[in-house]
Amino acid sequence: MNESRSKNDAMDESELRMQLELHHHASYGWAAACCAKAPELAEDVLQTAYLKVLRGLARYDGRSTFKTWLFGVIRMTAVDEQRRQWLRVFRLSSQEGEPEMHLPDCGDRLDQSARSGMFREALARLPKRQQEVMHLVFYQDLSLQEASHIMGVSLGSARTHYERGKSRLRAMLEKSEYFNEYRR
Amino acid sequence: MNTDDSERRLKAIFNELKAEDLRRTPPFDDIARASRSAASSSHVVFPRFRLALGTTAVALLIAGVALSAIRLHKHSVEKEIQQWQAVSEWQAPTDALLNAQDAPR
Repeated sequence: MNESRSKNDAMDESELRMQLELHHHASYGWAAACCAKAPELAEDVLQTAYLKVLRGLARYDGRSTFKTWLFGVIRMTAVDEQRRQWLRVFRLSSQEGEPEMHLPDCGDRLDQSARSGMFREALARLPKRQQEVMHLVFYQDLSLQEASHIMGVSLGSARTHYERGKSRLRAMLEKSEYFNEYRR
Repeated sequence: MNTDDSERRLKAIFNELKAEDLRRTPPFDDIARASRSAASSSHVVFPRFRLALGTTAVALLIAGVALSAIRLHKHSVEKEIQQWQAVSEWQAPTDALLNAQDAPR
């Protein structure tokens, strides 16, 4: 039998659960980043991704680290979940004539500091690929190679997104007085 | 602001976000339990159902096309047989002249 088969067989449910638990905090952060425009979806995305893993609908083949593979599953699940959400909103708006899209604003995040709230807003305004690579590199401490694997793009493409995202965020930091303390 | 500097600053802000997320991450058991309870009625299972439904519809379509093609073929063969029968039974109106005794030779 091939390597992937033996890896799947080797990982039983308890081992999968252990791995999921080990990466739970990082996974939540990534799920929230994947749903930057609808953070309330993060828990649903994580729940569905765990379900896919535990029921064998998504299978770890051992070609990358478990974390890299899991992040790929979460990313695909978030894309599906958001598509479903948009369809729901589209149907509602076509029925009622008024769009009911929920867009997060600073008022929704009273529990967050104004600065991190602002930073999240700025991050959410970046193109999707740039958001993803910035999160994976700076938040998750992954290499560009690992980030490119999760995003399903080439290393060169990931590097381009990274440089562009970084320069846009840098410009934002230079303009805003909220981030003065980081200039020291 | 040079590159190293900006990377350091970005890292510091991302660490702040990370600490914030860490505080509001729902416990693993809650998510895992919810996953398990959702398993019976989850939309994750739904794509399988949709796939089965789609496959059945395509199979039915193919069967329908094949059936009508067979019928059409059968019909055309019958028609051809009828045509050949008509040709073989056909008699020219002047055939009688060939058998006449006093026909000029």
